[in-house]
Amino acid sequence: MANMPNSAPPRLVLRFLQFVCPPQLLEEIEGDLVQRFAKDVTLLGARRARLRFAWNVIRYVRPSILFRRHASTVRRRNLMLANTIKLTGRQWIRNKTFSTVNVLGLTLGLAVCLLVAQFVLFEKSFDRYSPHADRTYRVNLYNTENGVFDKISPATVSGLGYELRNQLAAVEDVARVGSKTGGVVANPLKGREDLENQIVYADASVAHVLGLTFVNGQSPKTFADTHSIFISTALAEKYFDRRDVTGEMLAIGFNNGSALPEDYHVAGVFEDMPPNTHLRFDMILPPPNEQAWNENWSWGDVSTYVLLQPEANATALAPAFAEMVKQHHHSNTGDRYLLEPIASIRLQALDGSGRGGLINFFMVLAAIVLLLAWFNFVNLSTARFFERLKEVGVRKLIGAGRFQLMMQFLVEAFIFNLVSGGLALMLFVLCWPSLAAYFGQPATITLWQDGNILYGVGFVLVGTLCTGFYPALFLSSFTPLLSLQGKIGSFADRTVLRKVLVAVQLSVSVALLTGVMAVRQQVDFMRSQNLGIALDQTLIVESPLLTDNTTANHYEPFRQALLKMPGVEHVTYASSFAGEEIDWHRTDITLGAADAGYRYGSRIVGIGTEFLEAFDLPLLAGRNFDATNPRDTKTMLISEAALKMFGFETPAQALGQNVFVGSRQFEVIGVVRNYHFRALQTAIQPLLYIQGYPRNPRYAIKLSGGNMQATVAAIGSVWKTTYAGNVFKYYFLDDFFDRQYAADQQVGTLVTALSLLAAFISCIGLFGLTLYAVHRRTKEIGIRKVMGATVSQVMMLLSREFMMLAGVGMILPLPFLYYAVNQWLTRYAYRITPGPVLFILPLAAILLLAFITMSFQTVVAARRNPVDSMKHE
Amino acid sequence: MAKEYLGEFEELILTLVAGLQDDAYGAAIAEEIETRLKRDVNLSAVHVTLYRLEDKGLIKSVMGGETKERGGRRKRIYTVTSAGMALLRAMKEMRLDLWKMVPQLKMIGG
Repeated sequence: MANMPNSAPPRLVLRFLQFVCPPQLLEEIEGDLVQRFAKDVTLLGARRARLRFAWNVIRYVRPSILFRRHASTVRRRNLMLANTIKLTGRQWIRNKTFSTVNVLGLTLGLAVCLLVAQFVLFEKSFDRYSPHADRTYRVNLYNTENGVFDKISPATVSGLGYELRNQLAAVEDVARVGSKTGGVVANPLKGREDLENQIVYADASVAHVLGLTFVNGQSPKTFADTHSIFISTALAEKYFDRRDVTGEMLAIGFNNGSALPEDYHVAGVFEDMPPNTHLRFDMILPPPNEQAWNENWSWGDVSTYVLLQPEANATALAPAFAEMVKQHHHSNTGDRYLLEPIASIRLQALDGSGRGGLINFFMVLAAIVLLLAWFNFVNLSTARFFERLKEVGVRKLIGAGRFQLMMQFLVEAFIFNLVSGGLALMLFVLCWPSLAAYFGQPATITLWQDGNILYGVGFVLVGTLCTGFYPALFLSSFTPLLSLQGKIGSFADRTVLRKVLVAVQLSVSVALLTGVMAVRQQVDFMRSQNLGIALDQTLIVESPLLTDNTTANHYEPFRQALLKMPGVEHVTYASSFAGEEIDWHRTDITLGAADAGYRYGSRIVGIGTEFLEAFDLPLLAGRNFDATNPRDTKTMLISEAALKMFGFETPAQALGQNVFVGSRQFEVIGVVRNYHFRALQTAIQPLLYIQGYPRNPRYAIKLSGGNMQATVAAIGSVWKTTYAGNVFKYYFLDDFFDRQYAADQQVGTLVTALSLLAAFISCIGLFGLTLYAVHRRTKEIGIRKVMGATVSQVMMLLSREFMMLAGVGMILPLPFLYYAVNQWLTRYAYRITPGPVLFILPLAAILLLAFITMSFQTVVAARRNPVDSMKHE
Repeated sequence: MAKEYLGEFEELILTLVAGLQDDAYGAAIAEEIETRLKRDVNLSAVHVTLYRLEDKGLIKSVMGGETKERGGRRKRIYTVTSAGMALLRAMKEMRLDLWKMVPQLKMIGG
């Protein structure tokens, strides 16, 4: 019988079938064949049955089996669906304005969400390119001065990293990266030369710690000597036109005491760092003095990156850090070292520079705009119910069930959302490049590649369902007889939800508009303040990069040559100018004697003797530096704020006092009036001025108007002859200073755009609501007009309710708004006092806008011939 | 589905699917053809036709339970859709209409 061992179908043939037959068909076909075989065995005997089996299998080698991709297709022609789609199209055409505004609102809301999602995605993708980014940390110093918290800063000293690497088992690797420096890079063979600014001194281990990949697959562990360098592929292509240039030579001139460039040997080429990283560089140099780099605990401004062992815990380093503070930080015993994961630097950096707050703000705004758009959709859909009253009635009489009707409205909502989604996608793709340029992000859209997009899609789908569901429930609820008579069921007459939605929309619009006003007022306020210093028509020229011990001598002839020009008023130098952080910051300043108890912290600038004159800075007491007095290199001017810091009552008291910076002694010879050397976000800090040509001076050239371009060109040619081989780079000081407000202005522009959108969408909602009200009262209006009501009276009648609603909706959030604006303003040291105008103006603007929106329909309704109105059903 | 053309073998298979009801699967249909029509038919031809009919929406299928004689493999059970039934009925009526044109000299079957 079939159970006999030799009655099993031949294995080989079965294997062949499994090979040729598409898997989804296999089970069925195999089963039928085996069944057939079992029958054949009983009829014909095992041998012939096997032959037949093989033949049957071979017959399956035919295209309609081999290339069949699916097991079964069920082609359902859903007639109801087709019908619904047709109906939706008809509805659309019949209410063109209605559908268009509806879709417009949704499109804008969705597009904004897409744009913000892409923006946020990029911000969140920072510093994740390294394969072991999750165990890479940056060391931060929690710094204290005189036992009091000063700041958290990622600037550490170079000795720290060396000790970390050598002492701790939990540490896999450490990389120290120095601050950026500039260099004139040249490839003489190709005759290419340019100024590069993205150059860092670092350990060779930076390649491993930060996860750089080298083009030739090998990542060097160390630098062979002080003249080997790693460069990025971008630099390689720029100077050699190819990527792997390992072993080639580059001539590089640095600001390191030699005016002549030296030859450097390319020991490795790494792939360009991605744009989404907090630290970017194009060239890595070994530190010039290896021993000092390793052992020096005062070589500052070094970023220390730590790669922990896979199982190690960041907290395991705490005792070691405490020990280091004890050994190396002397009196600052309150100092601590903190580890921050590199992936969190962009958004939540410990030093407070993270953009997380801004990102959350954007996300909330986008969500608000989308919510408003959805509110609108609900409002407009339900407001249309008068037009659809009869339709629903007839449908119900013919026999449509409630479920079918709901499906119809849901499908309608879905189609509206689908169309809006498509349009929003197009808008997004169109707008992203310009927005990306505005925020300095890459123009490529990476949104589709991210898994989180699914959550977003899910969110939008759920939202669509919710927004579609209420109108569906609402519209399908009419009782057929009443709706055919034009009477509205009790459920349908509930407009509370719509009123609440519109009120919320309007209050959100007012809130956003108030935000816009606040940002604008604050930025305008800051820009219009007297800085206490004249920044206009001032050209700042970057210091020459290639210097040696004779460079300082070139300054005086350079200055004299410039002063001879007609358009030049003053020429001076300083270590830093207004509009940037002054990085010369000492915290070991004492008064009276070196090491005299309390240590003050202050910023210091080195200036030329003409500085005060060039910038119109008046002295409150004492005298300016005297260029001819050699003793004046041991003197100091102090700012008003420094005067206060030192505790002097009057400027005169400070004169003749001795201030020690570390061990160097300075006599105070004058007090300079305060000026804002930083934007008005920050308060004026104490500042000490000392005279003398600093290490990295920049030159300030005060122009007297006339033909600026010609003057700048002339200065450039003088520069070329004085500082041969150096690039002439300059900027205008007032522009530079204003750039500090760029971030605020960026936020301002964004909030403006979003709030206008929100206001627009709210107006659409109001439009729908008015439409509904006017429809409902058409007959009443007709009767009133017959009785003698004027157009304005009718308009008042129609608008009154909504204006009151709008008023309430807008006034309720005012206390919250007042609080929020004040909270935001605390970020600024110099700020506006929010006055009533700030809150009343947006309110009035939105009210006016609301009124205008409503008038579109109230005017038409009020002016209509009463005869027509009375005929209305 | 105004002008759906059905071949002779397709029609045969469709009819058998309708007739065999819960027992309509490849091997059973082939066997039925062999025993009733005394016509040699290859399994592969039956399967291909079943798939084609399914693509046309005339039949639909579900995987049925497994049986021992098939070594634990499941059957795919086919059933006629309403479209398939309508088509069968239309074809039968058309045949009858045409048949009525033939002079009724001799009756052969019904």
